[in-house]
Amino acid sequence: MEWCPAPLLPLLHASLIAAGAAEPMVLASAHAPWQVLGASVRGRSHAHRGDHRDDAMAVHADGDLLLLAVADGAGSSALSRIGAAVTAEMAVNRTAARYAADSANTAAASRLGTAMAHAVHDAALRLHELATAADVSPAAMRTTIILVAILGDLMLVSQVGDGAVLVQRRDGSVLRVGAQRETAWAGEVTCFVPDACAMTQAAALRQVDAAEVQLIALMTDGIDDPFHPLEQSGAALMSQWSSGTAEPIGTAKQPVIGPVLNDADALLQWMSFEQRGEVDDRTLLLAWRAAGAA
Amino acid sequence: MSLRRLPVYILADVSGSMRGTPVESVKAGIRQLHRDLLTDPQAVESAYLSVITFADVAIQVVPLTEVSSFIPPEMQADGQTNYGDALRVLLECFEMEVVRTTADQKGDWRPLVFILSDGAPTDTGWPEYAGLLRARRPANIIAVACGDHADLVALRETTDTVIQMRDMSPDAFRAFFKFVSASVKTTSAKVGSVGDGGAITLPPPPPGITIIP
Repeated sequence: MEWCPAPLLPLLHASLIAAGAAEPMVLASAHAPWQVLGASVRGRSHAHRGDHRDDAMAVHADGDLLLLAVADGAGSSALSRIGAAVTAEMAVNRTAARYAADSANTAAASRLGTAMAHAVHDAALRLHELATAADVSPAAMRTTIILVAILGDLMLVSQVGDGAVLVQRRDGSVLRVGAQRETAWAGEVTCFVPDACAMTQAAALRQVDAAEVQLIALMTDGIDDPFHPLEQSGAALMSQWSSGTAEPIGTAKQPVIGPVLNDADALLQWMSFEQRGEVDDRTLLLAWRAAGAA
Repeated sequence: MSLRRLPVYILADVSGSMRGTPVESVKAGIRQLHRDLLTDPQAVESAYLSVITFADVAIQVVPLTEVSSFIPPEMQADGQTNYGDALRVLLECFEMEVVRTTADQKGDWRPLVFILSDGAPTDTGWPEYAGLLRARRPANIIAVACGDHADLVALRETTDTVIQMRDMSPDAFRAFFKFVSASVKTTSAKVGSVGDGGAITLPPPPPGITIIP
């Protein structure tokens, strides 16, 4: 099965198709004072069936603005891999474009937040168009999205669906930012992009003082679930990414590796941890202050 | 960071009307289901099976057990159809065996329940328990009306998903349990992906089994 159905080939950029179909997908970039490294890998369930990864991620930098996104296509939706890839890319690109074009004399936080929510809405509209072109229901494109924007000392988080954002402050404390689980049952998400509820959820922004932030981790539920609750395991995860996996977390079988920051191979090894019943795609996008950065 | 399970409950009517070929077919079907799930890596990791039988009373004959340790039960058909007791025992099992996600622990998948019945309830208490299942929605429940005499109203009161299996031959039961197996495999493979508030997408039913709209 091709990653992109034939009717959508003329409508999607070749680079988006190549990134979506890549196994694994790795992103690395630097936007002073931030360094960024991310990886997205196919879960055991998809690998066993020879299916594509449904997760996606994207990074965009524009001047002082850094935008990060991870998305997790709903496994019950036939073209969710398209939905995830398109939504992640549009979330960062459209936020940057909308923010740059907004000349309103209002606070940066307000303009940036508005741009983020509208970017998710833009993505939802695009998914409706693509669904029409592919002759499927828009629900076939369903995806979650986590979008993080950093502008100077301002950090905003927008989230539709599950997954998580962890923040490590300069004092070492770790904070989970963003939406909590929606139901008492595993794996249940009540609102996706491009559902009508997505715009409302995307507009419910969380704000963090970026000046105090040392390390940010965006993750899909393939990373979040095995280490639930992140309120308890978050500090250990941050320590592993910064210092290595000498101490395994909980019942996860983890390879012994060094720090993953600045090391894509190590990050991919870290993401190969095993835990019974955890077979989902895994996407982890890390952004941290470069050594010596203010 | 405990294991995340997919609990699967089979509620089998073993009242007198199921005596003979039907109950033997259900037993064979459960054995076949077990063999089938053992061949699926995700199901082996995630699915846990339980069997509850009901006649004069309901009994959980197999507690929630991982697929690799599951032993298909013996069953004998006799007595009335105490459907209310079956639903009561099911609700108790949910309370005792199923783990919900909290701030401190990882929960199970929403359970999958298959109710097989060929007759009408002989008790009067079943509407209360059917109402509780409706209100709490603690599981994705698929009710199966076996033959022509199953009480569709009682099954409808319990769940929106009712399927009809008019033929009660061994082949029909075999096809039905294949459908159960496919449903379990589909659900256990869609980790993190169930939309619409937990409603699942069932695989297409085999010939002879129809979903009642």
